[in-house]
Amino acid sequence: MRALWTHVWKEWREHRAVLVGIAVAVPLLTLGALFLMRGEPVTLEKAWPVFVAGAAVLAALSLATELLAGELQRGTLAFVRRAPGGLGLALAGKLVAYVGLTAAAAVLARVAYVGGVRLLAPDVPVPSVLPAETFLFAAPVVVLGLWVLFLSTWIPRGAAAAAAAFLVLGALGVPAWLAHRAWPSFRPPSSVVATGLAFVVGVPLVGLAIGLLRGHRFATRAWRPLVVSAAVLVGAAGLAYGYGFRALDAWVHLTPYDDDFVIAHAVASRDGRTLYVTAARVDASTGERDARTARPWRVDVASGAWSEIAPPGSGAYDVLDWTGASIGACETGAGLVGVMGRDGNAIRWVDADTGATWKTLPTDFAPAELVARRRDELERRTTVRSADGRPVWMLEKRLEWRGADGGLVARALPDGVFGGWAHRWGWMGWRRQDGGGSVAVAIGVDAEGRVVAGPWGRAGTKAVHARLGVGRYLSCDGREAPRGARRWTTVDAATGASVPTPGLLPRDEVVLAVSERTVVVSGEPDAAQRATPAVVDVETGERRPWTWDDGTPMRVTSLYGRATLGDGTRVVGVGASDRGAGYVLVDATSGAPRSFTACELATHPYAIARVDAVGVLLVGRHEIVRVRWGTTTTWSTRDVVFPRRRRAAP
Amino acid sequence: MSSRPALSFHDVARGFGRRRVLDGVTLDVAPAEVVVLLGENGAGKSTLLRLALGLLAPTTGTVTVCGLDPVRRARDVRRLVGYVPDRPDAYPWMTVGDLFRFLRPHHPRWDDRRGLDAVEALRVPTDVPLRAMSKGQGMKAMLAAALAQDPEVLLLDEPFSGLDPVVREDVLRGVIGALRDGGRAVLCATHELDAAARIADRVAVLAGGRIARVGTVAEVVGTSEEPANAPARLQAVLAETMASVGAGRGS
Repeated sequence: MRALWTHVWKEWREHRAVLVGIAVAVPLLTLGALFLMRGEPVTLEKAWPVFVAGAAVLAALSLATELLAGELQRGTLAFVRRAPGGLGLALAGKLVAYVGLTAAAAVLARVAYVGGVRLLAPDVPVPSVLPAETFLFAAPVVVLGLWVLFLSTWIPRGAAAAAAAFLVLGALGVPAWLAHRAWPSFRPPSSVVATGLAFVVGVPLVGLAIGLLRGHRFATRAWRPLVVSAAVLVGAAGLAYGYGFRALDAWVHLTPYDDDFVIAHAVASRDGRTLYVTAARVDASTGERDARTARPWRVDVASGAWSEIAPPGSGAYDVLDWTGASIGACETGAGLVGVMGRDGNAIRWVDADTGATWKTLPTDFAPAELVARRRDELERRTTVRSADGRPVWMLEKRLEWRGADGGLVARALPDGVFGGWAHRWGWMGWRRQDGGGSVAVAIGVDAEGRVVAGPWGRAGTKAVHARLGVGRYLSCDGREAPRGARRWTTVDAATGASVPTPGLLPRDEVVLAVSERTVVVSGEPDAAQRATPAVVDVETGERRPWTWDDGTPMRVTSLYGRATLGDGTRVVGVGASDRGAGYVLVDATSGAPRSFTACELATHPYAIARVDAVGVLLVGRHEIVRVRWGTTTTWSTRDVVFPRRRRAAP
Repeated sequence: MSSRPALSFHDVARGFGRRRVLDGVTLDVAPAEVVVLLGENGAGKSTLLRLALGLLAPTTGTVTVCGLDPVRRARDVRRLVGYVPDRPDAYPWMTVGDLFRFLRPHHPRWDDRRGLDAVEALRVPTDVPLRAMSKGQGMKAMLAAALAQDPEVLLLDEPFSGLDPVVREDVLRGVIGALRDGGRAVLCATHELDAAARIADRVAVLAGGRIARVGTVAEVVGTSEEPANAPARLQAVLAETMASVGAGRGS
């Protein structure tokens, strides 16, 4: 031990002039900088890591470029080589001196900072004279110096070794930088970070030992150990990056069993036996889905077996998602599913029932056969009816339906009307105004087969519930106004005449459409942000509290998404209530709630397919569940369809 | 006295690149014996000393110091061996005091008194850094440090080279004084035939990578007893040896 400290003393003695210079410069520079910053207390308070790191850099680079390279240049290595401790003890002494003196410089900077702040800006709080973070900020600098020492065994010139260290570290960092550019939301697991740290710290130490103790062991320089140390560097880098990229690869290739697996959306096949689920990873820090990790799976509903159908960055979508006028309800499964890759240049159209590829087409290209298939889908799945009960759909800015002879009838939208998004029972669009701007309109087909778009004439209105099957829609004047300033009207789609809607109050918010004439509204929220809902018949104006059979009110904060069970007697609504997020079963005739089940659901879930007359598939954040009710009962069974065994191998 | 040689080279070979400097050297140095290595520049004298200290490894053959392998047991060997290089190689900022302070913890047998006695006897300035000393003063400081270690084997690499006669005499007296302590084996490489004749128990002539001649001065020069003009006779022997080695190479 005495011999070791003798070597440390020797290093101090040899570099005494430089170290004394640093010991004088650090406090002076620190005080000088504090003097200049004394008028910016916020900056002063946060600036101390810069002083510490700066002092560490000064000491580390001064020492690292001289401890070994200087010794080799001056030829004094022969003297320590023939001492009994040899180069091993000399190396130990150099490392102890290097780390100790660099840490001392960091401490000196911190102490100078504290003293300077108390002298120049006493209002700036300094809770601790020497927090542990002092050494944390100096640590990276110490590691950098180790690389300079390591490369000094190859390049016995201090400045050149320092430059080489920066180059080597820069080159080593390139793969990590490229990976971060490609996958910026990837957060390496702690094991990868630890491996990286072990590499950054361990390789220069090992390389230094090999390069010095073997490369300079004898009076003549041996090249082989230097080659070996280079091989250690390359090999260790390969291993570390191999481990890291393996973790990246596992992260990129999302599986349903990963902790941050989140379902974006799901599409059921027409026969209800297959699901096309698109999921992605969630960035833990932002809560956002990373689209680059999204990928679709094809899931067998009965067995739960799943298979990947596209690489990361892809998604599978309902064919109606591309029509620009979606139905807005998804109780029926899709006949065609589009799989789009990361570049978005092409879509692979897949028969949803069989999984067979129908065609692969450029994204913006819709040939006649694709349009025909879209039309088939719309016709089969539309819930919108004309005034005389015909299925009506919108395709390529035209409303279409079947005439009495079964032939296709297509009518363009009225002049100046554009857009068109579907509510359950009708479309809403926009009509351009002569003076500029546009107003919302309701679009439908009257009993005479005419396309109608309800004239508005008033700004700030919005139709919220289309009832175009009876040729009317519900409008909320002053939709964007605060509650209490609204006016609910029922508008005749053909004439535009409006009358106040019976039963609806200015403070109401329509949260669930049970049927064309029955809606659930939420009243004004109380202090706990809970709204008291009511069921309103918008034809008669009958209004009654939305309560359970025992009279307990069903309190909701939001309801979004609904589906009608196959027998048409019940409606499932999904959303949040005072019981948490979940789904509620509602009587389609009376609107009375029958049951509520808490369930973790996605942000905008919807029942995606009817399993049968008494069941529905619900999309959750991490899983898809099948819920079934008895024919006459309100209790339900619930089982997970996908993924069947969480965190277990498929 | 132990029968084991203090220093032993057996069929040692060592080359540098394509040049084979030593090619089958066999030489033993007994405890308390002084052997002087003679040879022209580049004969391999310094190489042989570095092999003994473990600063080089032999290509073939074996080297032992007090029965130890100087490469594998470097630490132990260097604790037993005092080495004076052909020029002072300690840190230029070191004074004699700094030199002693640095070396003391490495050598369990370190004796400050012995070192200071040597410093005084050799008239080495104690408060002057090495870079400010003359070469002779530096050599004497290194010799004093080597003696302070109380080594069992003393290796001297051209200790008299480049010294003026006064300093050379100082160093020579210092060496002779160290020899009087007894029990210490010495291997000295030098060109100084006069010094060799004064201190050597045996001389070994290194030529052509081998020990060409070895024996007492009288044996080497071919007389029954040591001649009065031993340096001149040794010079003649050296010249003759070099010539025969050169002729052998030519043929």
